[in-house]
Amino acid sequence: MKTKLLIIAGLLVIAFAVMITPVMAGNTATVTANPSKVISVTVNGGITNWALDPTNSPKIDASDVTLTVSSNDPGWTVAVKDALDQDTGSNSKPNAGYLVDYNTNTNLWGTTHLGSPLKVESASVTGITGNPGSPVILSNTDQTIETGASDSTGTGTFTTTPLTFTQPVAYTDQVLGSNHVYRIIVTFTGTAT
Amino acid sequence: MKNYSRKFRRMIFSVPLFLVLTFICVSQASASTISIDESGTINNWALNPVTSPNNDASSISLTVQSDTQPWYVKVNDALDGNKPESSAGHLAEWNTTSSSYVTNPHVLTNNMNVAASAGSGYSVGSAISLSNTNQNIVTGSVINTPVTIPINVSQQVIYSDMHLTNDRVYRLVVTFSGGFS
Repeated sequence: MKTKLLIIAGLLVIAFAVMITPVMAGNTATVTANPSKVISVTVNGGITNWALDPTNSPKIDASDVTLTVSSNDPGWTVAVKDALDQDTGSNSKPNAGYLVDYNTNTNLWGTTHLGSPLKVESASVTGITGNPGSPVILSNTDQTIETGASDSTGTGTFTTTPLTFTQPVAYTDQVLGSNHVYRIIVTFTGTAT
Repeated sequence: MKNYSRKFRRMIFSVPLFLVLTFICVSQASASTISIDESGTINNWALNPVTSPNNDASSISLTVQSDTQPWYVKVNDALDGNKPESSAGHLAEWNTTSSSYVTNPHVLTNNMNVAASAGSGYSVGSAISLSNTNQNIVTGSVINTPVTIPINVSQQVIYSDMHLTNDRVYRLVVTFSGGFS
């Protein structure tokens, strides 16, 4: 009899539990996604009033310009060129790859230029393969100076070590008059693969 | 023999009693019901770290009907499809060819956020950071009338969230469940 009562009591407990348990409902939604390939390149710094000296040629600047590259795409590249920017003046820059006479009053490019083109070099750091020891000779064509790693270590935001700019100077590179400097605008272009 | 027969009769008597009790209980249980019908998916969401966080407030909605209030809708990442537990709440790398999660998958850095849009007959909380634990996004008071609730999904991405190639995408199955407070 005791056993029977226990069984009935147990069944009642189970039945009561069922009674107070609310009816649940559920459903699902599937989400699939992929980040679009993007790259951002920011140039930090510049070189101004670079004191070129034919007795100390080539002149090297390895401290004033860095790049900050952000990309989610492994294998990204950064290329460099002289885009012959018109900038604020009314005429386009001639002589791709060379520093050219620039009138700081009129913002016009002249025709006199240094005898040798500018060279650009980037060091290799974690996640980035640069072109150390093989500087590109600047021209109006894109030339790769940095490549991101082909795996996930090549994604994220990187600030490079300072780029190295090398400018040979000869005695034939004439000194310019007042309000004139040799000038070039270097353009960096990032590409997601 | 006589005792045995009495016990047998009692047992026979207890069967209908149990059936009646069960019927009553089941009748009580069926008095509180809630249904959730999910509609929509987000396919090939083009996430962008430049415009992050990315928001989708139009693809997914729920139609909820309850005969008892207050009711709730909770959400979680139930790790459907053998999704790795370590990726709970995060979109994880999925092989579209084999229809399976990748071993040691790439996983987006930030959890997906889920919220419900405000509407009549229910109240909503702030967006929740999805996990494998149920979290409340809606508390409802309307009964016996279906109510449609748009779901807002938000995903922050950063540059280190790698773009996937070939047959890979990031994937997550969001589970919505309803019940009574």
